[in-house]
Amino acid sequence: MKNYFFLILALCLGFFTATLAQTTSDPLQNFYRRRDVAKMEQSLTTFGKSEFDADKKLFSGIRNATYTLEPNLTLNRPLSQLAGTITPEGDNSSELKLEYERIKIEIPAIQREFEAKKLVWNPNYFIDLRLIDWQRLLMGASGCTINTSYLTPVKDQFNCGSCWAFSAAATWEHSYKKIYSSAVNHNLSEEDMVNCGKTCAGDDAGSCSGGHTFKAFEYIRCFKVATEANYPYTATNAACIAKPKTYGAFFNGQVGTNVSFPTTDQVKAAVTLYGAVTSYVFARGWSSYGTGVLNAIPNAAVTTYTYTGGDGRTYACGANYINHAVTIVGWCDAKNAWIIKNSWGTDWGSYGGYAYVAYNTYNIAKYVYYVVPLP
Amino acid sequence: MIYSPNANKMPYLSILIAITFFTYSSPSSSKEIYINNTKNLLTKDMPDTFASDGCPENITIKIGQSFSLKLPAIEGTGFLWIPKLSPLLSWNEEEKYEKVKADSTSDIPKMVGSPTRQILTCKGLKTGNELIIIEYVRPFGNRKPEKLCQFNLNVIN
Repeated sequence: MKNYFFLILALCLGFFTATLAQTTSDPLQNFYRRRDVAKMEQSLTTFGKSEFDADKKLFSGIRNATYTLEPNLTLNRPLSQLAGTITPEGDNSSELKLEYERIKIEIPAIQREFEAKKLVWNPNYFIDLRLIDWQRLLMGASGCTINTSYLTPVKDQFNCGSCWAFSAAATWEHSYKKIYSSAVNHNLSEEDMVNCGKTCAGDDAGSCSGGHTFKAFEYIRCFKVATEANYPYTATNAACIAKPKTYGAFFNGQVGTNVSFPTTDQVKAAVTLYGAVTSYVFARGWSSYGTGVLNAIPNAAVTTYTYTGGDGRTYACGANYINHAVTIVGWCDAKNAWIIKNSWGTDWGSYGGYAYVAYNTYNIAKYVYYVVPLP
Repeated sequence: MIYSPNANKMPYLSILIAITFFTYSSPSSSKEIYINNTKNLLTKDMPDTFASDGCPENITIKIGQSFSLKLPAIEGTGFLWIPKLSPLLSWNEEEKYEKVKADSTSDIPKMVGSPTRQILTCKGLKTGNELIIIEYVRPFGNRKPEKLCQFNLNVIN
């Protein structure tokens, strides 16, 4: 009898120790453990309020880290001086100068709109990222950095090549929470983007046969997009239907360029500033993801993969080969990894559709785009 | 008494295996879309390796002979063509894809979510007849097939 008592005691202690160890080591695991997915999705809508308090203790370290990262970069100089004093890394192109001129002209109008709506004006959201002092922005960044109050429920693209629309919508939704209010949830219509999406110049943004996140952002900026309730997702290509347009954007841009990819710190800075960014990836083998960090294909190994071209010939995947789009919502230096949101539903992986992807693997964080939503 | 740590687990293990077997061998439900069955592939005069674009109706191969199936798939959706195992065949597990059309040369970066064809390769192992089933399914979640490819396989000497 006595032996059984000690056996049960030992089992309980073991379980408790294992639970505690899990709690302290893995923020995503902490976030999703003990929650069934439906409850988690429901709770996400109230994060920042009471539901979040339950995890406050577990997340105190992470939350503090995030809050010390809140950009406190209110400019102490006029914008006109800024471009001359902060040198964008290796980028003095005329394109940058033009971009800067555009920003300088547009900012007063945006500021007026903010003030008219009695919103807090933070000029940092509207500075071209190439003009930002990255080191200063990331000062104090360490450990795992994810602000769960910006997270929104994971969606499912099903068997439709609309990852670009899902990633764009998720980034907009996260950025809205970061910039305006973490208590407010918006739900953009991916179907609107799939069926109607086009660039400001009128080029097709994409369909179920593929597309581009930056073109989706242009669509949101120039034409606005409908709510999910007004234009629900069907995972099919169909004719564009005119629906009330609700969500817009002030701004969209790329972190780094297609020629000069951003550094890890630059992407971290963008995530810090905007709450989330979209990134293209080479998602080979991701279907079998279970738990931990996705790290099987370092960037250097992408070229060892091949594909058969439309002409039937076999080609090596180029160094920058990509086939999917996801949303970067945080990072974890302790794991050397980004924290990403996928669009394969909540059953994918162990974290309700979120995952860790190691730095410099799967070509993540090369093609990176951000958006500044309209309030 | 000799204590065997695995002895007491055996009944549970058997039950687990039985449940797993039952779950995965149950016929999949309602929304099943069959890929076109249009071809009979007879390989008497064919080379050692050949490919079928789409899902064939019948395939006859010799032991040791390889063939590939190219089935429509969108890489980047989480769906994969996964064959149900058969003692007559061995499947190459490497994920391979073929682009349906060439990339636009002016588009940098290339479009994401483009349609592809997944290439599955297998080899005849032993003689016999069997209905081969390949599911287009996500290996996670409810594992409900989005599409099915099935064909009659005849492996000969």
